[in-house]
Amino acid sequence: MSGNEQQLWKSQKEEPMRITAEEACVLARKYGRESTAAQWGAWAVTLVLVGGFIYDLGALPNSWIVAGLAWALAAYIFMVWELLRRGTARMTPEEPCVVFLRRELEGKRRALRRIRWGLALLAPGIAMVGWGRGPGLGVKFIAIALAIGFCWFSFWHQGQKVDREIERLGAI
Amino acid sequence: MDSISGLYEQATKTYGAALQRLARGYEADPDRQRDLLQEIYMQLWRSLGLFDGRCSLQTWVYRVAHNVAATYIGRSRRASARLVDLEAIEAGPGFVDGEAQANRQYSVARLLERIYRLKPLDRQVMLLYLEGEPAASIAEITGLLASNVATKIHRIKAQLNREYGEGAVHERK
Repeated sequence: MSGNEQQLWKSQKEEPMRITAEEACVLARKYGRESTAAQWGAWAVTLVLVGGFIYDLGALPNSWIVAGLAWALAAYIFMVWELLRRGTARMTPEEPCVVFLRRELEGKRRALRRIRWGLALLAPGIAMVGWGRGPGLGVKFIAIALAIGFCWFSFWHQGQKVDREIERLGAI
Repeated sequence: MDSISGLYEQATKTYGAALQRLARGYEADPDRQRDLLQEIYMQLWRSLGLFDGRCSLQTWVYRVAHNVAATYIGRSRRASARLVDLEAIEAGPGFVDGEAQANRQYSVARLLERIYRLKPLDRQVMLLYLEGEPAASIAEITGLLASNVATKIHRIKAQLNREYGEGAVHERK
């Protein structure tokens, strides 16, 4: 390579892509609507699950299954609570980059932790449902337990990576 | 609204080219570059309502752009393992035929390949350095200490020197 890399970098001629203020305003409004729709979607799914549970309540054969499903539902709500409460709309990212990255990573760490807790909380609910249904579900239970365990481990592993990233930022 | 529109127009007119290069520094695929750039413009418009002049418009624009881009590549699973290919560069605008241009394309491709491998903060420093921003300005934009920026720039220069030979860095001095 000859010449300096700054000149080389700036020598890239760009195709004129401009977004006018009006277009940006339209995009921002669309973004706001989509964020709101995602939040309403999460509420709708939750309400359908809760509604379905209440609707089936009378048909459930025994109280262990009722308690187990209620527990699992509570674990699900625990996991999605932040999304239900705050939605997906992001704060405007005008902070210094290090501060922004750290905040993003800490948010991710909290979300991963919440999901891990939620998955752990699912286990008693599933056990109660299994107990209520009686014998004969051994293989299914092992499969469910393994699936939950695998998910929990994946989220834990991701959490470890995020921890290392935060530590690295802290050292800067 | 009018003051936001005015600031927005000023920002995109002054820093539009730099923002397009920035998008290229984060995303190899031309279509996704356009998506990223569109998101940067949209977030810039949203942010300008909060602009209070405590930092310069340039610092504000670069902060928003780099933060949006860092989030964008964080969402993209391909980002960490991605390498630029020459086709993506050749598909980009502004290149014309000829040996000199071909050499330049190749050099830009190598530079981008190096950039794509960097972690977000290092990438931000490198892109700002390539835009010719002084260390103090990079420190203000990124929130890093000026001494850390200087160290990073020194390492970037050393790496580029190793990559492209002694000529590149010495020529700039």
